[in-house]
Amino acid sequence: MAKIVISSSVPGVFYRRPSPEADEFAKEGDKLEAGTTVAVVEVMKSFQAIVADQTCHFVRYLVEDDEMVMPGDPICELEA
Amino acid sequence: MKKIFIANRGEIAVRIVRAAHSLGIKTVQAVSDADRNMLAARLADETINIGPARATKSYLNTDAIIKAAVASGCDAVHPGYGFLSENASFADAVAAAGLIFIGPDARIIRLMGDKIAARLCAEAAGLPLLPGSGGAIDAEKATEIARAIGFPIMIKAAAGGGGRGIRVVERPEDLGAQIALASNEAKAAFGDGKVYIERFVDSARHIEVQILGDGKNVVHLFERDCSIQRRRQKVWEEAPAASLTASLRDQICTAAVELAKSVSYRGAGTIEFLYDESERLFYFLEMNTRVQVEHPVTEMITGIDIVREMIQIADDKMLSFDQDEVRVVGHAIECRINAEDPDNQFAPNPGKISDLHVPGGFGVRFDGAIYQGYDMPLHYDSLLGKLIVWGEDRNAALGRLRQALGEMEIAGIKTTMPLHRRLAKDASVENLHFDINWLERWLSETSQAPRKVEVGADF
Repeated sequence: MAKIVISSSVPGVFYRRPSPEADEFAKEGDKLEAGTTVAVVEVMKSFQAIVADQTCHFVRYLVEDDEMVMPGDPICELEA
Repeated sequence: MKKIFIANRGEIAVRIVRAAHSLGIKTVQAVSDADRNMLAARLADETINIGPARATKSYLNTDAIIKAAVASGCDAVHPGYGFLSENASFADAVAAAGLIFIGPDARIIRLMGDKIAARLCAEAAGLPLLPGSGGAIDAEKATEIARAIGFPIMIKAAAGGGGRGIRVVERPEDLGAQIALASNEAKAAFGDGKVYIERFVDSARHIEVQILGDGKNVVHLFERDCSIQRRRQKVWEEAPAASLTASLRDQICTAAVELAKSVSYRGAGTIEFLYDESERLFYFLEMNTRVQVEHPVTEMITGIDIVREMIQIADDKMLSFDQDEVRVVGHAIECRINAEDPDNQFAPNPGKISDLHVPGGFGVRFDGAIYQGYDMPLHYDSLLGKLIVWGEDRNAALGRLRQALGEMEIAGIKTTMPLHRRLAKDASVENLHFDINWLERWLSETSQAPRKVEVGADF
């Protein structure tokens, strides 16, 4: 099992969930298909989806909800 | 009026500072933690911090704004566009604090903010409406009405507007589920789940009429064509609307004045219409009770400073001109220059402007929020500024626009200028062959389909 770390490509505010009331996009052990959204980053009033780029399992988020991220910041860990 | 509090940011804040100073009125600029160095803060007489970068804690925070306006000794508040500009409770709070709200009465903001109530008001004033439900509906009633008007139909949120909260339904069998979704979405986004339906017009232009009212008199400043849009957000605007005949222009502008008169409108406002060119029919969409981003194209063809008029009207002055004195001279075009990368699905591009050259000369105007060395924050919308050109006719304006866009330079961040350079040379644009769906089609033909998830801007 290879560990994969996904980074943000944009600066902005990091969110683990699609809306404040919703559940987190993924939790530990979830099987993700390539293209599944795992987080969003809000920048200039638009939401950039952060997606898994291959089939994998979700391990954990590396950033708290509602925190600032910069391009290249690791935001979650996956396993493939 | 002696001192205006500017409860906004970016280019419109700069515009308001300039209009106020030209009238000899002092300004206090509200700034969030992220905006200490913005251009309006440099130009205003004073600045006052109203809270953290996040808009909900600063530019959308009524209490912080009122406190700051009172503490800084202002006697009026200009809300700009977006943020609290169409929030009736904010207008009420400004008045309750003993300050002048530069805009219409809270009662009118509330009326026009409820798109169902606004539709009924327009109908009573004799304006043409798209066939639709007339009021809030549930799935059952929607099915009945949709069957009568035919598919596709649009579901709109009563508390929406500005292109937000709209769903298009193609097939009768999807209607029930879509109504439920639209209602839930509207409840989450606006706190009001009321939705209504209207007939969907496939190929139409967005035409809007600028009006000014002083409570007694209402005049129109003619119309704008804002059909070139992406994701229901305007990209390029013109005045006048070159596709209208003189007779239709007269009808649409008169209709706008009728609506504003029926509510004794006081302030600047815009009445938006869909124009079906093949049928030569126009339909009322909504009324915006604030200054619009694209107001400069109207200023360029009429010679009337709309922001200055707003301030004078709020200061209890009557309009100093009547309808006969408002004349259109020439043609104007505005390009919204955003910090977005048109070659990468319009990805937002905040950051530092390392170099800036703004074109000038006869008929060229730049209403911007930027300067060399300015760091465009990531917390707010992406509008860097608006390049506006005037020409004695549309072709002259297009020629001047190509020249100005060629000269303009913004370095350090990606902007939508390359898109505007392409549009300014495009044959469809030149020949007026566009409707509200044209730009999206043109973009998908010339590049890859966008993949990003997006919510609408709020103006």
